[in-house]
Amino acid sequence: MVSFVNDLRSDLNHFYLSISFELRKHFRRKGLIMALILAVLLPLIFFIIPIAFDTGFADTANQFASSNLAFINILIIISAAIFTGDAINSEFEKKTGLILFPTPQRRNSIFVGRFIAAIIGVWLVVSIYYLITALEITNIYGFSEVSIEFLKSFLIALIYSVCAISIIFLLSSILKKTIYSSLIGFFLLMMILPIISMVLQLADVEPWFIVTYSSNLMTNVLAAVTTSTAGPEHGPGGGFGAGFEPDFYVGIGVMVAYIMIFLVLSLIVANRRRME
Amino acid sequence: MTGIKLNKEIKILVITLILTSILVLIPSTGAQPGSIMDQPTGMGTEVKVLNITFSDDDPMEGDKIVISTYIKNNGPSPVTNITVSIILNNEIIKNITDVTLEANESKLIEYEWTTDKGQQNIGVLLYVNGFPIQNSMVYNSIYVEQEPLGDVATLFFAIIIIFVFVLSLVILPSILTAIRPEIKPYSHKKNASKK
Repeated sequence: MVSFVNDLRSDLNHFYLSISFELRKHFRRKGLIMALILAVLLPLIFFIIPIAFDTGFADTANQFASSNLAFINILIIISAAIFTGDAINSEFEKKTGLILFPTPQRRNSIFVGRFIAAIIGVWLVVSIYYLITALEITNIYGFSEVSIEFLKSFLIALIYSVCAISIIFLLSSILKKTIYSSLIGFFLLMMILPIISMVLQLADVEPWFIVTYSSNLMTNVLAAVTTSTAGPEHGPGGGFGAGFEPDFYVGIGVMVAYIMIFLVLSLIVANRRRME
Repeated sequence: MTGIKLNKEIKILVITLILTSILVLIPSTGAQPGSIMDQPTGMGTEVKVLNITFSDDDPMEGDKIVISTYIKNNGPSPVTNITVSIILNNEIIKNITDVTLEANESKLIEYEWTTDKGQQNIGVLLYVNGFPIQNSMVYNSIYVEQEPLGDVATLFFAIIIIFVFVLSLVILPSILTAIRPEIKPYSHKKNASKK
């Protein structure tokens, strides 16, 4: 029993060390600064341009937030690629694993620590984006207009961030080069999965099992629907990718399932991987 | 020759009379009871839609609201077989048939509608004997708010589940080692020995 407790304590200590070391590494890198600059600049565009061209803002705070958060998806994917792309395969690529792996630290605690550090990095970027959007809403519409839907959107963005990280984490454990895992992860979440989702919708199949489809919840919860949903429809089955909307609970369930499956798979692959 | 000329003139006169009488009689037969044109057509009737109102002007998605419309017959004679079509975004959603209006009578027509989110244009169009009454279409629009999606508690719960799961992965090797000491799952020692 004493051995078990010591083992547990040791694991948790190593886990903490791995997180703190990885975070220090992130804060030293230019990638974090780039992601933070994007997180500040992107929401400011939606605030400055209407003022500069005197076009006026959206009618409601939620509509403003909905248009403002159009880029949150991209920012999450970029940040996840930056913080996670090299989480596992860098040890094998740069051979630093030869020093790290023989230490009395379990690989599990190293990799899960890196996973958590990546989450902290991406969450920081996402939080800044939402904070600036909230400040803009407060400035334009007043603080009372920062709705509960905005909080929901923020929490969904946090969950989706973890999901994007876990997908790229798996790629990092499988692929040899860090650049491949970052790029493939980026294109997978940015293009490949959305294209599959769109094609399925054209074929009148709801792509509820594709996580990028569930990520639409980030803006859908803001309920900023302004156009008629019963207007003329296009495409086979009467919809041009607009016939389906992700269900809230199914969408969150899909995200959580992706996180669990991809994280476990990536840990299995990373633990079995050998230094070449 | 004169006889032949007269005959021609008589023939022309007779044909002219027949054609004139046909042209004159056709509209009058429409008004005669019992004929095919017995009921008034859509054209010429003075039935109008006065307004369209909603039981709730600020509904949520999925709410059942009542669309009310007043129709009035401004003409001096009764109009039967009126069909009131309720139109949602250029698509007929309900036909209320066999409505009769006496002279100068107005009538309230109601229809319960389950709302769909977004901007919705509700129109009412009148038909008499299956013919639409020209310029009788009246529109009113309503904005239906989307039903709030999900709840914050579920999202917090999901985040907690994720972290508990991730933490369990950290301590899982220790637990496995404690249960079965001969198995050291993916520890550095195992990897080192394999090398």
